[in-house]
Amino acid sequence: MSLSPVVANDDVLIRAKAALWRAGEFGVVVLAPGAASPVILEGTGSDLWELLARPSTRQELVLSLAKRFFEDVSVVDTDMSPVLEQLLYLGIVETQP
Amino acid sequence: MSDLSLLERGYSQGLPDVPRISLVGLDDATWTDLINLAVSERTVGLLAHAAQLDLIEMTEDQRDELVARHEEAMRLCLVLERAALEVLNTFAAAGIDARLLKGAAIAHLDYPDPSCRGFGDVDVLVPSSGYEEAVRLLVAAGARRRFQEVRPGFDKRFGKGVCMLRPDGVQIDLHRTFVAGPFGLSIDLNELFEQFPVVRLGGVDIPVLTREHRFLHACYHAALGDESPRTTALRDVAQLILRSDLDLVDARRTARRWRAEAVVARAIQLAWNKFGLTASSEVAWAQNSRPTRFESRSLAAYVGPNRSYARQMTAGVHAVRGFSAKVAYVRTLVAVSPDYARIHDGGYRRRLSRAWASRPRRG
Repeated sequence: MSLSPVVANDDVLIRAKAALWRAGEFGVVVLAPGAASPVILEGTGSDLWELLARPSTRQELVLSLAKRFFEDVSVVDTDMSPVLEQLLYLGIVETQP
Repeated sequence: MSDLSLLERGYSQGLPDVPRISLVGLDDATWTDLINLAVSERTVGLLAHAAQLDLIEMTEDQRDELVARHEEAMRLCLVLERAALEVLNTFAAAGIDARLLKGAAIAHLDYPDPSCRGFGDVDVLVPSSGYEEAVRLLVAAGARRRFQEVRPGFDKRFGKGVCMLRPDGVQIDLHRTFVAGPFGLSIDLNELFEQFPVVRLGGVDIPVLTREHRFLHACYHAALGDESPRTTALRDVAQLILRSDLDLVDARRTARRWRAEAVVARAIQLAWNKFGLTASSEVAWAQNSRPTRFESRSLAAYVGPNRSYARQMTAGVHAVRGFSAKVAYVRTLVAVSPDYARIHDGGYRRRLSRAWASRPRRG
């Protein structure tokens, strides 16, 4: 059984306010509130973090990344699901009502 | 160009008129020395940022190592920022009006990206009235003093502050003023708390110093803080002058009130020399600036072969205002706590003779 929350298409997601982060050529290191150490987002994870600066639905995120990487929407959708769920679980990303 | 000056050119990237450099020809051992030096000086972020902007030419292997070291440095900064938030929240809850200083504040407010500016500890300024309570709160949270106080009550009235070490290894430098000795004693500390700019960290607005006060603090740190001036402090001085909206005239006016124009002049000259920057009106002012008598004899306690903490403390007599305060200050110098004397000076008699021998001459 997964502890990760399921992200619905119309859930509005944004970076957690309390998360501390730095970006560089390495990607993005993010320290979630209460976490022992920072996690790193690399590759498309960095792009996702950039997009999460503004409130976005899961669907908007998928479309933006697909456009950015010239990739099929369904492929991005499949790839992004576990990433978003993990970010929510870690408290790095939060949902907005 | 020597390898070291090559590195200094690397640190100055992003400032005006600095030519692009190449590290491609360096042998592995030299590169390793340079990157290790950058790590210890906490300047990896400056190099990484310059490399990202293609201002430094590097081999692929050098670039990979730089990126890895940069990530390590930024991980540390995040842990320190969280510690800073915890400390400042604790102080705010206790009604202590604190200001976040140096690294974390300057990284976010005065550089194009906070990942340019690394730091290794947390610096917080508190008013003298809240100083003892701030220490008590840090101790209650498990922190311990790294050094004994000269004498109970000294820090609150005359000291620079205290280094506290938390159980998680994070060092909190709790400041009452910018530096020990005369230049720290001649600052109008109330001015530092009059305005309320903030930096947003983790969704919280954290009070910091004004840009002009941040610049002055960088100058004190660069010109007086260490025998060999810290690269980050010198870069902060250059960064604030050349790449920010600093009101240098206002900052110099404040420095004059604080009897520290010579500190600003020295910091500017050191920064321009270090990075080989093009001469400017700021440098011309710094070179033509003539220290006052107070500034000359005070500088001698911080700079040069006779620099010592004892000398700074002794020179501080001239900056303490009021007769009774002067008496209290002198009494502290010659009647330190036995613990402090044992640890720092090898005994009361030795301390007494050192303080006396290092007394600045009249002239």
